[in-house]
Amino acid sequence: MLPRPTPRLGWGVLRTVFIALLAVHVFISAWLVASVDAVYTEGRPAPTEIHSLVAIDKDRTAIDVSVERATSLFIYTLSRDSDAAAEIEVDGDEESPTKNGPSSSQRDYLALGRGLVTWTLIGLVLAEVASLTRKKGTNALRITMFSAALLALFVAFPACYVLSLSDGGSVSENSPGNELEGSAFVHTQSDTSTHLRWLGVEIQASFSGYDLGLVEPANRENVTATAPQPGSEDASSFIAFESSFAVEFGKNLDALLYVPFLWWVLPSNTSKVFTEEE
Amino acid sequence: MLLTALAPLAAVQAAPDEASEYYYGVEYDWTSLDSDLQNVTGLDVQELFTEIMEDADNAGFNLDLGQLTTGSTNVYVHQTEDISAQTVENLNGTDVQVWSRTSDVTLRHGVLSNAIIMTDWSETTFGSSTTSFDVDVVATAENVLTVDILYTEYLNDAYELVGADMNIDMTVGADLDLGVDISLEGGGEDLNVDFDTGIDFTYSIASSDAEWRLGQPSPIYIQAAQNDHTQMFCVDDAEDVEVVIEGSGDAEIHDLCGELSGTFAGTADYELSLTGLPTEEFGLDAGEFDITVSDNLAESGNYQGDADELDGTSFSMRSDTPLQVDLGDGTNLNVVACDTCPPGSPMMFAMMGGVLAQASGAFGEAVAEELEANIEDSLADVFEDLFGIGDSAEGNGMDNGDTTPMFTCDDGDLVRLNYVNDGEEDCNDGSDEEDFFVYVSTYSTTPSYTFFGTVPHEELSIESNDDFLCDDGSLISWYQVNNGYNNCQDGSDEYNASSPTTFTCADGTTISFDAVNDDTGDCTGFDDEGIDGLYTVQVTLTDEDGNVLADVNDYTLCDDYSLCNNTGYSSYLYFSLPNSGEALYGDNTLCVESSLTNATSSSVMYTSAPVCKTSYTGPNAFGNMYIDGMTMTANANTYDFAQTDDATLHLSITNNQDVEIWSGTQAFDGTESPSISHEMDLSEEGEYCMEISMVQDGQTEAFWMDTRCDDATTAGTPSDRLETIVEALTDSGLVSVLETFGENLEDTFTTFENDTETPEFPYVDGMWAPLWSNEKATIVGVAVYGYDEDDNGYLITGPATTDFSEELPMTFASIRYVTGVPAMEAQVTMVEANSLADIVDVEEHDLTQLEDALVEAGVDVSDLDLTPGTDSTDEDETSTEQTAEELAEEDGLLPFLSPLSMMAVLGLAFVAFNTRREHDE
Repeated sequence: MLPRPTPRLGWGVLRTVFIALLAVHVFISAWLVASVDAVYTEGRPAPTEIHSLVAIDKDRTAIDVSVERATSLFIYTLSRDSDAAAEIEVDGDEESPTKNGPSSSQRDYLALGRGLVTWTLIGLVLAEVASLTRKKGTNALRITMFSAALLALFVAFPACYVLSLSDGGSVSENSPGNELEGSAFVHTQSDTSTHLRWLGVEIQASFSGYDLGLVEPANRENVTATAPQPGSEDASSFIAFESSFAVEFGKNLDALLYVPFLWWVLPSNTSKVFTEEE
Repeated sequence: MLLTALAPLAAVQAAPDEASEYYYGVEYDWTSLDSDLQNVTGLDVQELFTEIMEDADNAGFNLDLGQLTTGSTNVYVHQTEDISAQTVENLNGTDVQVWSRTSDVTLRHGVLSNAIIMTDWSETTFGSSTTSFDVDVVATAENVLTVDILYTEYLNDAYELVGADMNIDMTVGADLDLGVDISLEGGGEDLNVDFDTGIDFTYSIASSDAEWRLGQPSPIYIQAAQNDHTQMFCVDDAEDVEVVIEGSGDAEIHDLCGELSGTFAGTADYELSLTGLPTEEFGLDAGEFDITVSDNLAESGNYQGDADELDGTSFSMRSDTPLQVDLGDGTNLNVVACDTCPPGSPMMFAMMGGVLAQASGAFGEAVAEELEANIEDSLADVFEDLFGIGDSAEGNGMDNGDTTPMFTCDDGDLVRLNYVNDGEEDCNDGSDEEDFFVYVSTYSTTPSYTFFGTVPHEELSIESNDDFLCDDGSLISWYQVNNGYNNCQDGSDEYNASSPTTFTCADGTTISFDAVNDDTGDCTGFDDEGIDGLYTVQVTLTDEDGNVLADVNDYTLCDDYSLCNNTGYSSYLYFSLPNSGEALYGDNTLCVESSLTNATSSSVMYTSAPVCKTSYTGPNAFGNMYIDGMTMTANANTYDFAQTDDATLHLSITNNQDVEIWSGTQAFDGTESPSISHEMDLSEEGEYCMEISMVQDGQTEAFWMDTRCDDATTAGTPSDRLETIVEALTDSGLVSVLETFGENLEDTFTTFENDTETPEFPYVDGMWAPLWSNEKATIVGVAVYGYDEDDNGYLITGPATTDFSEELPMTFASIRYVTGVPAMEAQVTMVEANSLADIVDVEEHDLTQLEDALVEAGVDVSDLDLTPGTDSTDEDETSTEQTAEELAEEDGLLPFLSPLSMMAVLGLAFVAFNTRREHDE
């Protein structure tokens, strides 16, 4: 077991200051970082790569998107027949989720998460201040608030982000490109696997199929019914896509782990200890 | 001097005895642009900017303008000769003895410019919110062009051009950054847009080992040295090779231009960026959106093709103005201006064009192949989608469903059907053009048919028989027949009622002679009217089911318009018929089959295969739908030029469950084009569609239909706020402020025009003069000369020239010309320069000058950052926001906290514990 200094009131004040600084440090840092790396591996849009980084902090979401080797995707996007999607939507008798742009619920989930994190961090600092009063129960209070802050940052806020992404559906349904893929692609194959990372999670997905937008209108019915033979003209409508979606916590969030350490190395007198010393 | 200039004409018919070497170059400093402009126009741009800014200030708003340009353009040419015997392969692969002449060209161009526009205005009236705008735009542009050419041409001992080799490396780059910060306020709303955008593009093409060999040695330089005007034309056959000399000193050289081949390495890089877009303006979580789109295309390979680019290369010498120039070595050389020449070897420029074209073409093909897409087809699709041309246009909903039918040529190629029989051969084999055809069309608004087409009049014998054969064998003119006078001595040209005679037609039938030359064709071939060649056109029009709609048999062609429908002198055939039946509105398919018959012999000379065309008849409609928040406005309008009274316009609106929630109709009454407009509040978010259709009376199916959809959402959009703000700005005093500004500007420009003294332009004539040496048969420099009204010559730029003064009455182009050693040194230095910083003295691009000018104009520049790629201002908080990467990597308040610091803390704790233990002990 690690050695521990003698409890003093000064330690407590110092610890409270440190914990307040830690709370501010975490509060002003990025809380969640999501990254998407995707690459078209086969077909007209290949070899375009799409890299996206999303960083969320206390009051905003910053999004960086980089499309590299973009020419093939640009030509593909402009040349494909976007009407193909509508035809299949009707023919397939499938209802696609209505896309009305970002809804207010997205903002609500994130606002809820931000509120939780903010108030638990404030609560953590207040609990530390309360512990200086040596009142009974303040020790339990600060442990509770610390746990609440951890839960808010590491569980509640990511959950809110995922909810804001899904916005009524699953994450995969709302992933970039899903609308296109779901409505205009046939004979699709997809695969998803989830991996845990240090303070985060990574979802790897692959998708392939024949894009009816690249098929002559007269052939679409045939392609929908039967996958084109390799080497045939319609086989060039095959497109494969691989992506990796990773959600990690902000790099400064682990600073909160200093809090129990500070409790240990900078002990102040609890009510019980104070009585004994008296 | 005239004699010395003309003397060496024959000197280039043999290899030179002594090798020559020349350096020359031109340099331009773009910082001289303003002064050059002021020298010519008297206009001080900076002063004008200041006046405009004062006008704005006097009108009641702030406007600050600034621009700074720094740059340099440099071209150097180093030409050498190697007169030692060398061997090269000609086009046939045979070794030939040559000597060589090499041009080493270095071009470096770089320009860096900044421009700023800052303007703001604010108005606050008692009892209402502030109305204001604040717009800052900062633009930075960088342009770089570098070209290196090493051109070596090979000539035989007869001074004939055998071919040339070339190494070329060209890079062009452009980088434009734009920082925009707009803040609008009005009607209680505010809108802030602060973003930076940039475009960075670089294209580089290099071709090493480019080789051009003519089909046989060309006397181009010999002829250029001997004639005032010499032009080269490429021919395919050796037997066509010749030199055509015309008396006035013009020479045409018909040569086998040969082939061009080489290797290429090309790259095309681009990056488009948009940073700082406020995501909350698009309904997303508050934040910032940055996007970059980039690619790097690189390919290499070989190319080979005909050297057609040399076709038309010309030398036009101003031999009437011989010149003597000093090329930097202190000696004078006799030259003439070749005013059709580029500022270097014309053959080099022609080859450069060919190399760049073929290398770039090969690069493009390689890129397309790499992309595994047929770019040509894809781009064709794109253009079809964008501009509604071709098959892809059928999906746009607002056309009449008209597809583009194609015609299959005999060789299998496809061309558009409307190219068939249009007078131009669009198939490679010409099979799209028939000698005879008739085509049908309909008016879009009236039910009638129009036929048009061509007749092969040059193939027909459409001509008049001018001579009438009297019974006695004499000839008179046809117009004299039955004219009341006996023009035949036997009177056989006149009808005699007392002794009626007859006329025998060509087909053997007889008619009364009084019917001859009566302006009515009575014989089958109208030969009773002197017509020797009558043809009839037969046209049968059917619908797509084969039902005959119209039948034409009496359309005639001859050379007399009063007798026939078409004289045949025109190849164009046109006639129209009213529609005999009731056409249904909408698309109608009409098929026409036609033939051309010789009326005299009744033989069918041409037939035209049935051609069908689908065309639209009836009124047209157009519509639009707007959804603003949860309010929809749907409009259906028609344009009807035929005063239709038997159709009805329908408008139907459906919700996202595809349930009709509103419909309306309006009948065509034959007077005004009907329209329907409807505005309604929507109860639910989702997709709403409107369908416009027109139905002909008595029919159940619409003959025209269009559907449009849009989303309704309760989420506010920037356009809502923008509309409110614009309304507030419109209602504010801004309008009068701008009116005042306009008046002030008008006054300023008037004053400027009156007060600015435009310097008198002293030159009345000029001469662009690539300097051609007949002695050396090459371009040895370049100059520009000016002449005043007294015919005094001035050297605007170029090498020192005898009889041309360098004391210029006006400098309007600060171009520096260098020759000799200075040119050599400059080229050696500049050839190493490949970036903007190398080419341009960036230190001279002192942005503090720009800032000082703005400060002088009263602008607070403390927040202004003109560095490319950074925000122009940080007046509002959005401009200082970090990108996602910066935010993710931000160290926070306690940057020292890290796993290492954790270890350090543990160490400290251990020390503290030991201290306590020692104290306790």
